[in-house]
Amino acid sequence: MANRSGPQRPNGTAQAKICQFKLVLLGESAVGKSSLVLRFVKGQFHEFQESTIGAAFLTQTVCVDDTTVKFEIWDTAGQERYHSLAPMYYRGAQAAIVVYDVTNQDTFGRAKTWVKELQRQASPNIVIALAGNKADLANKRSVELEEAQAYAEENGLLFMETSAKTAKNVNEIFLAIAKKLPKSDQNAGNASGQGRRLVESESTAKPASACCSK
Amino acid sequence: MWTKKKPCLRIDESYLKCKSPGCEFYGNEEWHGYCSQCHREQFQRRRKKVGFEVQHQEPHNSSSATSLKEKYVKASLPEFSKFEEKKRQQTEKTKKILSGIFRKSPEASKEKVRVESLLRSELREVEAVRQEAQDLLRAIGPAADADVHKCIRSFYKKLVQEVENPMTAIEDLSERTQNFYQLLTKRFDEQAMYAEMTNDQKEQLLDYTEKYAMTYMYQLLFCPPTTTDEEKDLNIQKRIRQLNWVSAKHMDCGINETSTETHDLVYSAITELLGMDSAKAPQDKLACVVRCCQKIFTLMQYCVEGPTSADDFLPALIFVVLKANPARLKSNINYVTRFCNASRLMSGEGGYYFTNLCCAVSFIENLTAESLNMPEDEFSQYMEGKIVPSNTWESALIMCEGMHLMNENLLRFAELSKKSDILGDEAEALRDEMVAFHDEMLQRIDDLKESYPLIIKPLKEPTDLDAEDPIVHELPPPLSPQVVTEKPKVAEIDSPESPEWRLTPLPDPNLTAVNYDFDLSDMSGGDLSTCEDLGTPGYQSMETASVQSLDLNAYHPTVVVKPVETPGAASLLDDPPIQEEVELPSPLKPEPSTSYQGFSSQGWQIPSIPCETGASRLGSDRSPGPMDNS
Repeated sequence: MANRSGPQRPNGTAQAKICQFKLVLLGESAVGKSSLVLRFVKGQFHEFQESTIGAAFLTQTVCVDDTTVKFEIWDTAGQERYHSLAPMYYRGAQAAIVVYDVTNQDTFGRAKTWVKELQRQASPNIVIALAGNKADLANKRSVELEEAQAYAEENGLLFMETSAKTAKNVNEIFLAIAKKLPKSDQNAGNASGQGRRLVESESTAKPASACCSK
Repeated sequence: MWTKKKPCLRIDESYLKCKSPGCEFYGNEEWHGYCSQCHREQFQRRRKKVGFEVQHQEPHNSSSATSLKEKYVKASLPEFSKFEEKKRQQTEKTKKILSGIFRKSPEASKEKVRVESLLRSELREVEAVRQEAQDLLRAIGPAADADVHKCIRSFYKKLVQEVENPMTAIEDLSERTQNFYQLLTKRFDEQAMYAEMTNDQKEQLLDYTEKYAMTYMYQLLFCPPTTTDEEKDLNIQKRIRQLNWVSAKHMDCGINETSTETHDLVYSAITELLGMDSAKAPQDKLACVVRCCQKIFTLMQYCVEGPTSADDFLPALIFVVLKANPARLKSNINYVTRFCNASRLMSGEGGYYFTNLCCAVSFIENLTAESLNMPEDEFSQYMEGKIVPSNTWESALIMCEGMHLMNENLLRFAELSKKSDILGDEAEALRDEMVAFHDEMLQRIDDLKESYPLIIKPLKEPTDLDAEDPIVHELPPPLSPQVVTEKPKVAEIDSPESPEWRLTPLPDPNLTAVNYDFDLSDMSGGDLSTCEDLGTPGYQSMETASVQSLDLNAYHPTVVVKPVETPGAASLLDDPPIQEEVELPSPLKPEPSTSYQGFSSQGWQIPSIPCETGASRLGSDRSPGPMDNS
């Protein structure tokens, strides 16, 4: 969903292309979803976060080639009891990061169910990334890198092990998503559509992008 | 992708699917469990039915029903020709819908009359909206202004027409509205008269249009009688009332119910949420939600370390919604969903918070014992009101608030009295210090007075060497050097007062200069003792001036040369007197010791001494010289 003030202005030829994308964060609570975003958006980790009040909704802009990609990051509540509400959040999202904790096998299991659900119910051309967070705690690792890698390849996901604490791979994973997102004008044209219609129009555009649909 | 469905983990897949048998799409509660397509078909069929039903019921109904019938037939006739219906029987459902429609029908008959009056009732607010946007409208120019209002007018005429038709589903109105927004966006981009506007202005203009149109038609579109919104409102209200025992602990959201700060913040969040009902334009309602959520974030700052993530935020929002129990909650949410510009709901802060609110409402609707992590029987007992927990929010608010307040106030008073004590002590200490300081200062002043007694010295005045001194005129005329030749007279003269006295001892003309020098040396000696008083008028004489000039020379190297070079000056102070005394019997010897005054009075009469030339030159060159010296 590129914003309305986007590139398709008749007289704005010199304007750089701006695409706005909605990105949802999914994953069990306490895997570090919001830390990951805060690291990406504000460059901070827990100790320095006094100035930030809310980490539930944040925006950040990255540049990919000649395009400015504006991420609108929607955090979701990870607790099991709110799981059924998730579709409301990822409705109309163009990207999702499913986060798990490398030191906790259960969170990886939950991540898999999220991925399955997204592939079944979210917009067909949604870009899904899998992030194994807390990679700095390698000595407590219980999810092997190879295992997650294999799973990601099998399901056509972007995959990285990240650490919000050391900032490892944090910017990289967002950049990788930005690169993979379709930035064509056709996609942008569908921007202001209503939820329902957006899904319809995106499903017509489905054959064009085969990023994650199996 | 859609065909490869596997059973969902939580809810049975069939539950989510469209209710029409054999339909592969997912259903939606909003459409009574149908997918959008089947719902539409159902709806059309329903209209048809209504047409028949009304016809059939005609004999039994009163006269008002007759007019109603006519209206319905009129309304549904075009639909007959328009749509080809699939025959799928859902008798039970249809009956339910019918009963709903008949319940509402009396209102529908009055619709026409109401529409006008309702629209008129909003006129003042619409005017206010327009006033607010005046700057923007002026900026975009009259042509664009007129065009925008023309668009709005044509839009609401169409919409009013549809609203007057009681068979129009709210979804159609919503779709029409969304189409209007999209068309308007397109128009702004394409029409020449909008070409000069910036993107920001276009955005603002779109906002304005939305606000204007929606405020104008608020009464028609908010909770219209054709929907079951009102019923849903009552249901959720009842549900929330039933759940009044849910505490922050149940929600696991870390809000400390007993602290006053959190109370206040929860109250303000609740106030914002309640304000949603009084706002009219969708974006204003959305703004209320955003403000409410921001208050919650502030609240969470007190309760959770670090920034608030959605993990903490959503439970808190649910808690606030439970405690607020806002009026017409469902109606408001539906109204915003239907008539707010969809792009605003899909993205942006407003969209995010609104989604959260929808989630909260959905969670409350589907709340079970499991979602509160409590045993089933406990939950049902709570719900039936058999047990009332002791630590509910209400009890905290109503029963204990007085105590809380008292405790808070007592604490505050204790703090204040402590502070005032400290203040008093400090003030006393300050006073002591001031007294001590005063005494000390007095003591020191006395000491100083003793050690340095007060002596009033005469005022010093700068000496102006160039000034015409009246005393000079009173002086006797300058002496001529010839007088010096009368040498023998020296012995006879006794009186030091006599002007001649000084000059008589000079034995021969050759020595004139020497004699003068001798006098001067004495004079300089006298002058040295009274150096400070140089400025006093009594000493303003040629001699003093000359002596000064000599002193000055030492400080001013540029003029040093001349006075020193003068033949007399070199010999003035030192050797000449000694030589003189040897050679000559000096008549001066006895005299200076007896009377000093004589010397000075004698000195005034000396017409020309070698130093004088230096002095006069000095005086003319640099008048501030004497001042420096003093």
